Amino acid sequence: MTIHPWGTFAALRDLQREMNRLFEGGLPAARTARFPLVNLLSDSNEAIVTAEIPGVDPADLEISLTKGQLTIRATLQDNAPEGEGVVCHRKERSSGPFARTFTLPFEVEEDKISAKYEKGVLAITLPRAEKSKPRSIPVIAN
Amino acid sequence: MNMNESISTPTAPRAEQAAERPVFVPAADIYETPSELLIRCDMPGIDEKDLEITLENKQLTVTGPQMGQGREACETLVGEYFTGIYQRAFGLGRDLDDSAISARLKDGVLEIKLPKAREAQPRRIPVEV
Repeated sequence: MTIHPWGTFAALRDLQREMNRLFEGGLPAARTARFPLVNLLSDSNEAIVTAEIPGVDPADLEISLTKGQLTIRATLQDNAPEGEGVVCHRKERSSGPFARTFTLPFEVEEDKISAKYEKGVLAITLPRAEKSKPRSIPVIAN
Repeated sequence: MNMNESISTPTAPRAEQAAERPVFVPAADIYETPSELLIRCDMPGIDEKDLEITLENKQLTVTGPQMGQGREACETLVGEYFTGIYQRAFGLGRDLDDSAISARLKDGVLEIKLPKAREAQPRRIPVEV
């Protein structure tokens, strides 16, 4: 609880707003210890890992694959305005470095991995290794 | 400028809750400089042309439906996040210049600049010695 420069009533009003927001607001955007959250989609030829990482410099995104483990690493830029008389009223967006590693569920063609960062969403395309592709097994009826 | 008056805590309009896609409140930073207010919202996966910013009755509302992942034929093996519609409303004070608001969407971050009206900007008053 912060000490309120505008007195008790302003503090109460703020509290009321926060409560209203809790009860009638939409879902808060996902903020968890795991960052970024990823989706992994796949068909029989390739897998796509997507992650929402708003506000990074694409050149700063580091993606690596070691022994079937994919790592995403970057730094979220703060870019807070600086100078005399700048006041921060609300700071909800995260900033700073992050890294996340997870195991891929199948072997991929390591040389053919590509990644694209567009509109704050990272998409990594991982072609499945030939031997990891699903095979259909013919059923023989006699 | 009394910020309690000029920016109220945002609330998501109730009507949108009936929408089929989930509605998310984007995380926001709000800064005030002597000449303007700066709002930044994390809104990844939104195309500029789908983003709607409206100003009505001193309420600034931003709405942006996220693009689909375009991979309907794929099977989801890991699904940690959902896509939906980002929406948030900000109440504005009287001392902002409504006509000069500008917005920019870059790398999934929306930046809105709201210049203060001339009479609301601080003036330095020289002290004569």
